[in-house]
Amino acid sequence: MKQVLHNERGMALAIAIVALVVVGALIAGAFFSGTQEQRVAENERRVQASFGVAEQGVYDVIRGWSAPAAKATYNGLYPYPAKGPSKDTVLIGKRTATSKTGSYSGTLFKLNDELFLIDVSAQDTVSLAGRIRGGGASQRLGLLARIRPLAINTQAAVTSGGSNVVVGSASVDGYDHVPTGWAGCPPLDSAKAGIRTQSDGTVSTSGHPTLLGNPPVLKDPTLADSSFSIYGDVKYTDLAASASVTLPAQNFSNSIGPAILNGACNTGVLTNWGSPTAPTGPCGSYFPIIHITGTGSVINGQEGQGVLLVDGSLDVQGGFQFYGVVIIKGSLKTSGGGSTPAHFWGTVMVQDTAAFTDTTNNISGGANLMYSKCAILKALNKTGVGSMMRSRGWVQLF
Amino acid sequence: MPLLARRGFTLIELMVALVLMGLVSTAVYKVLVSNQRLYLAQTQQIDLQQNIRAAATILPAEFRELDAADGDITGMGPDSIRMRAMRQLAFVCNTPALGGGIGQLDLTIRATPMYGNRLSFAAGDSLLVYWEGDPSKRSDDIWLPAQVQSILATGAVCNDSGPTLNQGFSLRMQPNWINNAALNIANAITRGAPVRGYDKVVYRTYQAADGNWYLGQRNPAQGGTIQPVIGPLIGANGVTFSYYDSIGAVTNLPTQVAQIEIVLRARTASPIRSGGAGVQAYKVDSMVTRVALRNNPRCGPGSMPPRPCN
Repeated sequence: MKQVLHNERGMALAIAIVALVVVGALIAGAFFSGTQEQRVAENERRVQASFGVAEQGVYDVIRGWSAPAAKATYNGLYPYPAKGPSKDTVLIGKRTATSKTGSYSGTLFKLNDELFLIDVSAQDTVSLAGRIRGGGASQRLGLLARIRPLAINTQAAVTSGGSNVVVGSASVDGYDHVPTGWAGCPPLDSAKAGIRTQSDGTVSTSGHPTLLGNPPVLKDPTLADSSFSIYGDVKYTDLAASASVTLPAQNFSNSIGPAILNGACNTGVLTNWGSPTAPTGPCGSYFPIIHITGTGSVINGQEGQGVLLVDGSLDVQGGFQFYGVVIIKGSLKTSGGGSTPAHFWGTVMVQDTAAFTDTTNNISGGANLMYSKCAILKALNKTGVGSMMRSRGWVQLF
Repeated sequence: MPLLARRGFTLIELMVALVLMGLVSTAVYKVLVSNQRLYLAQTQQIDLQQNIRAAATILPAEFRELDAADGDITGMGPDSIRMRAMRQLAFVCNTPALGGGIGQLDLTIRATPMYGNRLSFAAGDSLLVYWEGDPSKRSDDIWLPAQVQSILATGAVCNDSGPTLNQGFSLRMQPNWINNAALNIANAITRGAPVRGYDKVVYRTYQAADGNWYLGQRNPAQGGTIQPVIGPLIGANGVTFSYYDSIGAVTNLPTQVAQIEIVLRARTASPIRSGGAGVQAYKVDSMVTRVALRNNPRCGPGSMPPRPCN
């Protein structure tokens, strides 16, 4: 065997090996290029899939806004940047797209009373699984959302479907007032009527009440019964159905007031209707829709804000203050009691439905019913749902 | 065996060896050349496909954010489009002074959060500012154009937050609409209002100095010379834009464009042999895609078809 090896003098093997190596390298190079190309193409497909998931994500947030829990969370935010413990953002937890092609998560920022930014990042399923070298694909999209407030045609501080008696030192004022300490209010609105009634409605006074507005009393033949039940595209029943607080009629005494737990607004307490006199406090941004079923409610003292719907009659006996929109199907009575007079900032609509025996509103005891566009707007904004901004709401975020 | 006793190769042996070596070398050369051609052809094809893919990524991303009804398309043709390309999203942090005949707009813009490929401002930047008007109405909300005249200040300019979040830019502008009393009203631009920065860009096909046709972008904010984006193309008709309104009919009105169709026909940079053919030729590939403009008005003025807002 040793002799045979000594006799090997050719180069065929060496040449063959060199040729194989060169050809192999070229083929490997071609394969490498091909593989890279395939990877790029697959990544491109993943980018497209991620884009689709991200786009679904931003619209999912809009679609889910009207759910009571989401609405309460989103509308309860403070404009960015909020001072703790108040929050200006909500994290959108990871959700799988309905197409099962990926998942998205993100953040919802509150920019001001009307505007929000939905910031969503998405990854396709394969990238999300972490099996792609370099992290795979992802896409980030934004949507500017604007609150679609309820359309309530407010034309007076008090809109009444029955008779009205204003006595003592009570005041009904159709001029626009900005609640003390409230920020971000729009310019003052033009003067509204003090009391607006139907053609056959009456307004009588005794003592030294104040009736202000343009005009102080407006008899409006266009004011129909339906005006108290249908507001643009929303009905009273829709509002009641979306109430965040529903309570039976009762004597609330002075139990209505903000409830704070560990520095945050405790919205689980049904007698917590926000804190209008502390607008920067934990409950200052809480504007619930409150629905009181039945009739004969009595409130004496403390405060609330938002939209107050009363199926029956309401009797305010003391220093209770409410900021926003009040819609009463029965009648309203205010009377003395407590250390401060009753205050309503915003607008009060009292239908005085014939179904109730008493269809006369008695405003006495030094009550102040003042038109406030800011209070109405904030209440409606906080109870409205978000929708994509009408123009330029779609943003590719980087 | 002594060295002198060795007899070496015969001529015949040498000739046979040379012939064999020649045959082997020729075969190896052929394999090498063919592999190299294959490699070059493959590289060119990859470049071609990358071009197509780049077009499918870049152009739709630019077009999606357009609001044609609000004048984002300022010129359009089959081989070119002149438009506002969105580059920036930021937010106002102080309610600007408006109303009372004020003659300029001083906007304070928060540094964080800010999105886009430009995270600062400079004189000459073009902006669209969200004008809220009456907050109780959505129907009067519009975006108003403004150009940055000067940077008044940077740093701690936001007065609504503490030291970590008060960083921003104070910009002075003098837009034409400031003279319109219906727009220049107090609190019409609110704190938190979005501001979008844009570049006025042109995409068009052009023939470069190397004789090839490209789709180029001209952006005055970046020097104003046309830069190749995609190419080489098959020729002057390498990119075709078609414009459709919201019901899918072809339109030549920039404000009614709801979809833009892009047809791209690109070719390799040089001729290649493909499919075992002996003749070299340019390899051509193409792509068709249609992009829906996401930011057109959904209802009210400018919506197509006209749809009232509720």
